[in-house]
Amino acid sequence: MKRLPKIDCEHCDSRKDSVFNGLCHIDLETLSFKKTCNVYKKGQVIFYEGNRPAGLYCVNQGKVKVFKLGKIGKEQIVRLAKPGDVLGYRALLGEEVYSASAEALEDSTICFLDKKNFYEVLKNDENMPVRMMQLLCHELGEAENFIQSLAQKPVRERLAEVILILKRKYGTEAADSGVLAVSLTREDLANLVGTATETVIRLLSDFKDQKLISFEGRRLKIMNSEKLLQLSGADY
Amino acid sequence: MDRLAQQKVRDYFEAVALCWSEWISSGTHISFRPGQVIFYQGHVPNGVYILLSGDVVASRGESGREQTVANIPLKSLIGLDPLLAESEYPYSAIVQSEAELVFIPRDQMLAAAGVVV
Repeated sequence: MKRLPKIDCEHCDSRKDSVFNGLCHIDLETLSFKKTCNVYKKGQVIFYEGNRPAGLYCVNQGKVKVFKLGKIGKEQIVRLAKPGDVLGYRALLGEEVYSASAEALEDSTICFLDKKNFYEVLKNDENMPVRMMQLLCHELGEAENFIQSLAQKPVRERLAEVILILKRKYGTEAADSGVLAVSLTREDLANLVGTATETVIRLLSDFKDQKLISFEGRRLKIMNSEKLLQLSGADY
Repeated sequence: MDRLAQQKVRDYFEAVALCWSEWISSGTHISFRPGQVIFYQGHVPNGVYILLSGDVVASRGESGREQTVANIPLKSLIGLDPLLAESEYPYSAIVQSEAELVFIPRDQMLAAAGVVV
């Protein structure tokens, strides 16, 4: 009988960035007791678009892509999750089916809290509903920005923007090294930008020629973030 | 839960199979499509599934070299043993044809098992 190491919510390093930050000691102990943790290997699916949610997922370690499948099987990545992010809460709260699928981009530790216990937490902690609303509002804002760039920006600008978003979200390997801590395949990058893989490959080598980026193995290194920012047309 | 207690729970749940209607009505009904994986080998159960309709197979082995080892029977409590033993699923459950399942969370299942032991 093999017991898996259980991740304790109270000492979870990812909690400070999550909606569960601010829960009291007792709530956290209950949470640790009621939840289950699993390591999803790279490529394993956490939930599928169109299925009914049974609970809430919270990323402890790793990276997850949330994507929708088009008619011809082309993915559109709608969101990337990092440690501390919750997954599938919108479908759960809205009592709808998942509007997208979630898949591990690398080996990721992900905790699961069933629906009933999640609602218990929502009920017991007076600040929890507000934090959920803040999260929803924030993500809606991000989605609106994404709509705007998809509708108004050319692919080149969008790719520059996505590279900067990846840096902001996952950071760089060592401080100031510029090497992104996330390694996406060209296909994933294309599905995030919303274009064909060939286009992304062509634009990346363009960026490289302009000395905006370089490659460290499979990872992207940002060489000139000011120019990249300028190119992305973002106003932040 | 020790082996004897597990056996007791299993026998009891088998005996009260007719009472599952309550679980079936209170659990979350999830429809899975062919090719989808309900759970993966090596994971710990989040709860127990009951297969209501469709074909689901148990498959095990290294990723990319999985082999189908069995068909999962209708109306059985899938993953009860690893849940009670707090161990890992010995196989992955892969959907072959449109399948409807009921999910009963771990918490609720353990509460029901606690009554038996």
